[in-house]
Amino acid sequence: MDFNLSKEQELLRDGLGRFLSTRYDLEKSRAAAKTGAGWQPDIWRGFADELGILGAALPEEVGGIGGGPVEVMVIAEALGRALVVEPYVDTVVVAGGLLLRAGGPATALLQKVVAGTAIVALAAAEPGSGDHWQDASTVADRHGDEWVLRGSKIVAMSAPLATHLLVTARTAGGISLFLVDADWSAIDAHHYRTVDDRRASDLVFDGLRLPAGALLGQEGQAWPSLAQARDEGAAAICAEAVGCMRKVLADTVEYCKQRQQFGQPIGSFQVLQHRMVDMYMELEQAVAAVYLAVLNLEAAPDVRARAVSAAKATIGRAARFVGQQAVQLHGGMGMTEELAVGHYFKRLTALQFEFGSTDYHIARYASLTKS
Amino acid sequence: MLKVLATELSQSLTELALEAAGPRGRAYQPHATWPGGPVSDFEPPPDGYVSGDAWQAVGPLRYFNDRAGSIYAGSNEIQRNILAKAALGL
Repeated sequence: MDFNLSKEQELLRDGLGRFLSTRYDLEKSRAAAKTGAGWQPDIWRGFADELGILGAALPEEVGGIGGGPVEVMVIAEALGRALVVEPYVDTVVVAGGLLLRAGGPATALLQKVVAGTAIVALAAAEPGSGDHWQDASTVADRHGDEWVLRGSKIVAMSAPLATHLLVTARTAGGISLFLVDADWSAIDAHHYRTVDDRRASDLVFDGLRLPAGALLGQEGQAWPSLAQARDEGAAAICAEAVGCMRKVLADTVEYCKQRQQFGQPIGSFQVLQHRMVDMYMELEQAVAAVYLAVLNLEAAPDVRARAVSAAKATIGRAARFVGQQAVQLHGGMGMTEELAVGHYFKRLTALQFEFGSTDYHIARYASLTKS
Repeated sequence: MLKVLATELSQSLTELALEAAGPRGRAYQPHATWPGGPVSDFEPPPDGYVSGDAWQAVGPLRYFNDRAGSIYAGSNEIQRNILAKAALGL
């Protein structure tokens, strides 16, 4: 198996890394997240126009470059290292994949996603289902030429930034996917910030009328595509987590070399050296698990699901340990907003529960291994 | 010994509460309980909306704050150094 990146993939990684290290300022992004619009639209423009990363993993027909899972991995890791809050995974990986597979009228919207002019967010989790998306109880009924949507969605990530929403709903025969304009005068929505400084919404659809063309793909047949989107989202945030962990481990090692106690750097104490070695070993296992998931993303659904669950469970454990120990080894400084480590810790915490928790993925891996 | 055991037990409990909160534990909503008083860079929603229940809202806040337990009042590494000397004579 060849783990080397191609020349083009290296260029993608290096170009994005340079862009982020010169243009993506942690303090500015936190200010945008906390008190501003929640994101920096000029950064998104840069992603679309200067770097072309929004289409890097999408086919040429929709304006992309024709890459695949490895390109997503390279991009997501770089975004994780810089703690980017802009919705690459939500809009390009998850919604982008759903639009691509739906085809037809969804293609025009996907072209806008690649051009950076549309932000699309998926609303799938519900109060009763948690993040088991297949247990949706939102219903879409056909009335003449229209669909009528009734139900509630929770924690729809990036929805407050979105121009369009993808909403899952139960119809005859199963789960369907609907395209809904993010027109907040027509939708009962509560927008809020998340603990990792992103934006999300709780939504209530109380008989929202949609045109016939709002149905994407075939009626009742959306689940296989949704399951794939969820796995692709999980694999992408696993790569993002690797970027976050590389950064906090490097920061922690550097801090332990600088910080003096009892007349010597605290990094000279064996108990802390061993702790950092354990962090390193968790990180290396996480890297290997991401490769396993990424190289199986285009395999048969059960092979893909098993590899992704192995990765998400491994990354969940690693993100928890590495995040907690990075804070611990920074001491009181690790608890402040001044150092980067506290912000990375929050992201490393939130991603353990995104696209299925660690427990969920352990259970899924077990059930797929038994059968 | 009490300091090590109690702070690490508390960290296990707050971690479990965060897991139990599920997807709702993602929302940052200190106004649900104001566990540490008002927050300077946070504007509560005008209608006071809380996603889920108060215990879910406070889950992540307690988890993050409780990381300090093993750091303050003599870090747990220092406490273990003391036990190594005082209890085991090392």
